[in-house]
Amino acid sequence: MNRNRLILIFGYFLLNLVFGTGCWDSRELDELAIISGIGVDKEGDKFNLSFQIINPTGLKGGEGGGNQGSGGGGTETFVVAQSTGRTIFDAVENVRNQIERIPFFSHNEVIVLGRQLAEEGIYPGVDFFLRSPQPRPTQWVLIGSEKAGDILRPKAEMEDTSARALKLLVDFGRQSWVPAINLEEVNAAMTQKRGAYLIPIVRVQGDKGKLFLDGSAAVMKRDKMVGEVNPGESRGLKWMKGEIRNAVVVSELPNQQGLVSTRIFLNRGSIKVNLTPEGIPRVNVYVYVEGEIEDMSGKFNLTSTPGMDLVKKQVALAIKKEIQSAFQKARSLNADFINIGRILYQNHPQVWEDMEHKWDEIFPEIRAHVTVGVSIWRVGEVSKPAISE
Amino acid sequence: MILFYGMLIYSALREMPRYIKRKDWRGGGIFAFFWLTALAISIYMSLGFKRPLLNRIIYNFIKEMFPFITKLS
Amino acid sequence: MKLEKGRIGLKGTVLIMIGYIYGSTAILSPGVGVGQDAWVAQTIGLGLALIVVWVNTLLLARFPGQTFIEINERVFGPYAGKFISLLFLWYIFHLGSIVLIDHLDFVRLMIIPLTPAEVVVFLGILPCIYAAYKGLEVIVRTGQVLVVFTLLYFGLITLFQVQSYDFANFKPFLVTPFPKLAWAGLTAASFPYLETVVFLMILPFLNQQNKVRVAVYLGLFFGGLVVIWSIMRLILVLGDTAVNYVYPSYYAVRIINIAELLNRFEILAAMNYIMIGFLKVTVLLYAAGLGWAQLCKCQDYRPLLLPLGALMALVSLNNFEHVVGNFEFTTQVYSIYALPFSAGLPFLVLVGAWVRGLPGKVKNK
Repeated sequence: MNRNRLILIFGYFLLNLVFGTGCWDSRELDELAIISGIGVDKEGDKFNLSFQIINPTGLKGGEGGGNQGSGGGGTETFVVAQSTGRTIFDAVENVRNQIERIPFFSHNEVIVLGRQLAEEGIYPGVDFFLRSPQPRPTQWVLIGSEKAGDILRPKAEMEDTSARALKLLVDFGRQSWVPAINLEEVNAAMTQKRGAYLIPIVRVQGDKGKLFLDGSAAVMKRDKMVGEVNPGESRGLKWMKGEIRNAVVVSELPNQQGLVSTRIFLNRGSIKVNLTPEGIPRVNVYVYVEGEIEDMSGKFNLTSTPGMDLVKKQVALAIKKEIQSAFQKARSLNADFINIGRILYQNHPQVWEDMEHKWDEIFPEIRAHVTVGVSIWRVGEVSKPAISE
Repeated sequence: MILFYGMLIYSALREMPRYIKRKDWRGGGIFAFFWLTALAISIYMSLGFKRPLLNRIIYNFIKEMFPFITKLS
Repeated sequence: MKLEKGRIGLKGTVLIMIGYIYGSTAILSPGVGVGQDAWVAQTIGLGLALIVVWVNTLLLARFPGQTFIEINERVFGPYAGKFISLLFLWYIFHLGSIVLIDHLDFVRLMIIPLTPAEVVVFLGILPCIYAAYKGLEVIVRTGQVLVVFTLLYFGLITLFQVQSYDFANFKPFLVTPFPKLAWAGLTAASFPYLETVVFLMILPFLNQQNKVRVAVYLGLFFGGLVVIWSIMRLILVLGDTAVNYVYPSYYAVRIINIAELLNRFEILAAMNYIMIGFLKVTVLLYAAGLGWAQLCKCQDYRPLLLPLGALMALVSLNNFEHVVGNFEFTTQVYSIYALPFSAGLPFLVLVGAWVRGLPGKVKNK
């Protein structure tokens, strides 16, 4: 009896081993093409997909830093394969015609969308990645300044793959300029009927092909690109959301006393939408930052409270300018990437119901009142500049 | 489907002698009823007919009876 | 002639009730259709269910130690009683097949998409049959472990998701029109709370029969809390995009990413869904097997489990044409289909017992 039971249990595990790990779904590591970055382009009515595939034999591993990759004779650390298809999945299947392994998306780091696609609507380009269980919803989404395929080609100098480098650039940049957005957030933002959102733009610079990610970003309405913001404007948005973790604010001191740069390491922000008695929405933005002075060019004497107050005031002014510029851009593009509509809906659902259909007319009229509070705790090791009078 | 056939054959080989030994005809009857129904469905499915889609029938029936559901959900 | 000799404790019963209620709610996340008010709908559903199960507790208090099938037979006599029992058994059998395919569809969609459904369902039903074969005590003992594990997982995920909570997602509060909200509440009451009607087959084996009411209410209440919190968590993390996903709670686990270190928890979630599905299917299969055996006065319920389990698996394969049909069924017509069984039948039997003055006062105790 006992032995019978053992045989039964053993048989069940055996069945699971055979079927559960899958005659149908088993993928061994050496059959997979691990994709580290994807570029989606649109050419005419076809999609052009670029896959950046990790080449395991080209990776250096932990061999004492022996760098063969850049030696010229060594193998590449990644290869880029391209394929076209009428849909994304069509293209994914077509790439099997040229690479001998099964594309594996779980370790993908970034999706780069070509500019052409962004202008025509990104949803057809990202739907596959949302639908398939393999790609991560937390991978970054970027927009390429030109063709997405070209972004994935240049070699990274310090990382194994340029997709990895791109991911690290975003990870760092999102602390200040870059309005980083991942796949799940893109999907969430696309559901907003009247809202807009930003996707960072990545470009390739120089003849050697260096990836470059400043804060400039594409303004998207639903799934179409309607304009572009510069780094200051996208950081203006990030101040309001309280997303800044490590940013430099360069502010001018009055009377040509020079420049002072402040590192901001803490940021809180809130956007309140009130209604005037006439029923017009009015935006109040409160931003609070904390930072320290890192560098000052000039003779300004900091050893007094009024001096510090002046610096604080100038920092607040600089931040305020960025925030107002973000509002200015949003108004001129008529794209509500600050999501005032959503805040209005959350707090005054009845008012929003009346306004929703004419939001495009109301939004450019909205004025914002910005309040910035600044605390500066440290001034570094210098209290009185040597050349000050 | 072959797995289900195996399961059914196993259960028959295992239980039928016991039922006969105990003369538990009522239990044997209900056992045979389930067994035959399961076998019938297995054969039906392995012959590759269109699946009957039980819940689709219930769904359509209730939708006809209570048309207000579409508005509410 | 007793078919089940096992006795179960209060704690274990409450725990498996919690697991049973959380069961397929973990996957399907009902009520996300009403957006940020889904948790209100769930609360309404729980409130309704707490009122309705009063009937079940009264019924069990009138006939201590007897299962629903035996009660039916005593109240309505052999023929009408058998008919009502058949309806009840059909419901739990069908519910079992629905739950089975809910969970295994998930496995198929997210983990092993290329494996044929037959194989997955076969491997899924086998341990359920085995556990049901081992009897009630084993089910409850296994269930305890699995539910404790589930609750631990639940707490862990709650903790890990804290960074993506956005409390603004709850606003605006209560903008859903009332009929819609009431309908969502009714749906929530029937799925998952009133599915606990199957415990009419299990609670009679509680070792302290005077504690039946306590068990029902504790199980329902804490199970409800778990479900409501899981829905609230979903709204906090995903907001109104929850409707965009097939398995929103799984998606909410996928986006956990803490400092690039704590991420990719979805396989934990998937394991959890499989475990809790196993528990739910086992309870339903056991109740169906025991019920049939009692209905036909067999000497043993266990031989029935293999063909019944096979039948359940086969019916589950024939339930829906695709996963979309499953969602349509669950959100739109399931409550109307299920309420006559899960709330109507016990009520009918209670009224019958009350009219006929059963059980006679002499026989009691």
